[in-house]
Amino acid sequence: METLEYLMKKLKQSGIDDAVLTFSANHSRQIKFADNKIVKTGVEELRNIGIFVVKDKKILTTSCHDLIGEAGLSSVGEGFAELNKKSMDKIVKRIFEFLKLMQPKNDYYGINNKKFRYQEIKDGYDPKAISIDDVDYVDKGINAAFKEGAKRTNGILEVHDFKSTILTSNDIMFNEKRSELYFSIRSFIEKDESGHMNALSTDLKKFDVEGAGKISGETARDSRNPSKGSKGTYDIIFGPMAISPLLNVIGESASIFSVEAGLSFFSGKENKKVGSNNITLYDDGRLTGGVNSVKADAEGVATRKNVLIENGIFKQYLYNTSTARKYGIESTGNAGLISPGPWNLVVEKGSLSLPEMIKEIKNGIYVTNVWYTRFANYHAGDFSTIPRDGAFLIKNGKIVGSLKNIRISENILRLLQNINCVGNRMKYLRSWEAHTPVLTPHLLVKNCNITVPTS
Amino acid sequence: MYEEYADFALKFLKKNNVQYGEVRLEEHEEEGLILKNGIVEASGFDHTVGIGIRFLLNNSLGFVSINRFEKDSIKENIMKAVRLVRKGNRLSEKVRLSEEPIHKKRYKALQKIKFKDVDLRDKIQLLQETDSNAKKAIGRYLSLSSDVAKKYFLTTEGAGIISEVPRANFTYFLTLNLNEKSAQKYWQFCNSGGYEHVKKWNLPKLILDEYKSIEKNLKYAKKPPKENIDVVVGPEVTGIMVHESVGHPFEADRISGREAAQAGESFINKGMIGNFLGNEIVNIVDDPTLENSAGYYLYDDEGVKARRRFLIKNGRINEFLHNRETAAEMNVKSNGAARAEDFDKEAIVRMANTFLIPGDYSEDELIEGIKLGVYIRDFTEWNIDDKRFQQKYVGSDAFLIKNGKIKSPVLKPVLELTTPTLWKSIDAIGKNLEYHTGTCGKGEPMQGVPAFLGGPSIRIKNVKLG
Repeated sequence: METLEYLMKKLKQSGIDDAVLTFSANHSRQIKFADNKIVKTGVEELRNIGIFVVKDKKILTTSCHDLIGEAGLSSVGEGFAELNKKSMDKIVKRIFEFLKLMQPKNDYYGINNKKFRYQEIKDGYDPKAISIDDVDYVDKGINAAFKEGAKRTNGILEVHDFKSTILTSNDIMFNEKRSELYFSIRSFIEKDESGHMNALSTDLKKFDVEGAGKISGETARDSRNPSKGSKGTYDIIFGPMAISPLLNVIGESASIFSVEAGLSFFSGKENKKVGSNNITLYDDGRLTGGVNSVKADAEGVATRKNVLIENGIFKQYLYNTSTARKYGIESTGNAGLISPGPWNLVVEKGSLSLPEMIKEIKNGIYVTNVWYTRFANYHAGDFSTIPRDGAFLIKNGKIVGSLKNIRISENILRLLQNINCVGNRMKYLRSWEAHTPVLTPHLLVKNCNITVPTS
Repeated sequence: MYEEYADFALKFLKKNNVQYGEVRLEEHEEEGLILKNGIVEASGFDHTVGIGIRFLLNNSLGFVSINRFEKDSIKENIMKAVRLVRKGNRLSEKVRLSEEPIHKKRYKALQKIKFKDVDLRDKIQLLQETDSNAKKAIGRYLSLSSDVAKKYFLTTEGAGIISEVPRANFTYFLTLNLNEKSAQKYWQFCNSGGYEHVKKWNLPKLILDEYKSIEKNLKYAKKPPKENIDVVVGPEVTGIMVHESVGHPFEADRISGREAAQAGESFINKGMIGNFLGNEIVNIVDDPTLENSAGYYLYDDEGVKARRRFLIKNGRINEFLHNRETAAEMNVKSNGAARAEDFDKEAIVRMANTFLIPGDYSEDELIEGIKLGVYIRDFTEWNIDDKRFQQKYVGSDAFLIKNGKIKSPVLKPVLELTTPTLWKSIDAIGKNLEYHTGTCGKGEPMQGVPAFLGGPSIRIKNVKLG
């Protein structure tokens, strides 16, 4: 790509040690609906060049959006505009003026210099997904919820077409391409009676808006006439939507950046028991059909599957090349050039169905969704989160009613240790509070602390 | 040079006979610096620019965001949105916008000390000096940044607003570990204006004070009393309470259900104007026009002139926060609450600077009559349900009050109560008004905007702490 190559040449001529340039071009559409009606239709086209530069261990990040002029990146292959060359010369000059004033990060150890044989992600891009009839899909999702008794539905449909090219100063260059379909639907009957489900896929065939609408409507229907919950200790079944924000915090906590910044409850926990034998969690950068799957990370290291927790034992942090070299190990393929992070978080499937899990419980709650998860202390893992949508009281192996006005006030390490069993049906989703997609079944956690307002 | 493309987009909307069209060109000049455990992790600068285009066609709303400055691309994307809007028309909400005066204005918030005039080395030195005051903390994350936001806003009705609002930002995370117990404090600062605000924050002292208070709490704190007691909370806690339990449920798009899918709804309905929500001494406003504030603007992202909104007046629900869409729906006028995070997001109903109007009491006077109570200066964890009814605040720097005097530190007192209980239990309001900063999240896709959360210390009678 001429633009990136020109910029890289200029940076090298000026004497940088390391550089990574990332060009991304995203075309997106969205339809937002409220009370069964479309309230906004959106179309988006965004382009950007991300620039990461290192000179004498001084790390600088910047980007350019405004280089993309009348005849810039849009006309790749048809000649390269003088306008853009001038803009890039200007940005290189500014980078070097800035670098002069900076201080080195002494524990910086360079970017990847290894050439990998990349393998494309399976089912990562579906041209049919990009050209769906958006309105029709929204309609289908809403109608599926109606069939289950929903009166009001709210949500969003998003269609994304992402393309990117990465070029590093070690002459590594590769392209990524992926499609993403996302549908979120929250159904209501009356104000405290609601259900929520998402659908997420790269692949049109697996994009089940009707399935999401159905579950959302069913949950709303089953949550009718909720009563106020009581404080106490309960066994909780977390549905996939409910556990996904917590899995996201677990994934972030596994980043070596979080550990070093004092923001990880996994600090000092390598090869130590952090959970019950029942929990195995990994990060998979190559998950088939994963909306966040990439063949290589932000510096060209081939992505892979990394086990984070195996039968309750915390196995490893997530690294990029620089942080890995600092600790004398190999990168896990999770760059983030500043902060390594997870791609797709996957909980290993268990053996019980949801009805079987419910039967296991004497006094518990089935939580289908949570909201406003906040940590008092990421280092210790103390947090609380608020169940919303269907939350069902379980007594002696049966659902006996629905609940409202409760809060889970817990510690994440205690929660991991109390995972009693893992469900056998996997759900792939991302949500408002879970930006990293997760593939997870239901989880049964013993002895969770429920609190309620004092008056 | 970008204005030419915005003008073109507006002209193209007019040509396509939209009922209403608006174009918002946004340009940001940003600079930032991260220090982790005393070492400069990274720093950088950014110049971003793009156009958000919104239109009404057959009473359906379309939105285009683009940072590709080519006229053909702008045309193509608008037409794509027009086709999609037409296709969805059968399922669309029939949107109306309230009639509002048309303004043509230009305004600017001044930088007394321009960010660009401050050497990066001075900023690094400031952060390192700040960091050295908390050296024993096992985790120190400090971030200092600036953003100069320029907007060029036009509508087919003839409005034209050109603005420039610079902002200074500082965020920190401190993690302390003592005798196998740990504690963490996160907070942020933001003012509109220039580097003069960074100087005013006095970051080295700020971090030293925070470090000392966390350390003292870790060393000496004991559990709070179990019985019902009186609690005094400081301005930082009042600010978050005001924001979460009054600002949010007063957003008219929550009340109407437009944000029900993610950000949630409100326990308030539109028929509740005039109802008591709190004690008569409670007055809460939201004011974007507050100079130097995090949420500062004089015209909103629909070109409506900003003004102070009286949300609660003498304990009664007085008015909601509106944009033109919710105002038309509820047959009122917009009060200028439309804000977008950036060019690529639609403007929705947002708070700007929400605060409790101060009373007459000094903090000592609030405390002196309490036989047994707790004073909560600041907080760590908090949350509230998506109807903004039941909330939780976990105190960080907190102390026992005995016979009207502040005594020993208290460990993590938890206030978990409903919104009406909170505002009806307040019997005295301090005069020590402070403004704190938050990044308020709302919408799908999520948008974060800077806001002040403010108020003085308040006394809450007869509550149980967890």
